[in-house]
Amino acid sequence: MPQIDLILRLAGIGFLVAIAYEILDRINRKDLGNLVAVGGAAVMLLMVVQVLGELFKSVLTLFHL
Amino acid sequence: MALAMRVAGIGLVTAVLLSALGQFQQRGLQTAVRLGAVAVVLAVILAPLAEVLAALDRLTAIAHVRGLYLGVLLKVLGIAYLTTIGASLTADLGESALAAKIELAGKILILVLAVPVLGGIMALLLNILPR
Repeated sequence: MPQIDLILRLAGIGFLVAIAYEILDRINRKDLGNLVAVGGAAVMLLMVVQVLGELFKSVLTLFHL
Repeated sequence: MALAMRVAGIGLVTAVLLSALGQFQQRGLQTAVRLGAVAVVLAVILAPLAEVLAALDRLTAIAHVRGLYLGVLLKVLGIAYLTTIGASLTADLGESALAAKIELAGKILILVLAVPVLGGIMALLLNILPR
């Protein structure tokens, strides 16, 4: 399955974003930190939505819906 | 066997990663990882499911069941599958009211599919009954 590395990629992005947020928070740039957190979550959700869309499409073809 | 081990491994790895991500106060990042894990697990078990459905198709061809009824049955199964996935994901994100509405929508859609079959049974009964 080529998709299993998706979870690892998502978790990696998540860790990087969380650490960036913490660092920006420490140096009193919380505004930038919030932007980074929201952007990271958006990128991760985009990756997930593609896979979920493929899954739903294959369920539709499987059950002749 | 290999698939079962793969699914169990995905679940374990995701649980560990999620608990590590939980150290940071970022719920959105955790949510994305959780959704991705669900999608991957469901994609893994989709191929065996396709085999089962193909076997069901062959069995109905042997038994000379009318294809219309199998189509309705498959559609009902598909709607149940999709709405259950959506509702459980939504409930995981803490929106249980929205999840209940998704389940309700699935039930109503299944009912819409079942009404013609019910009508067929009723017509058959009216034919059998003496007037």
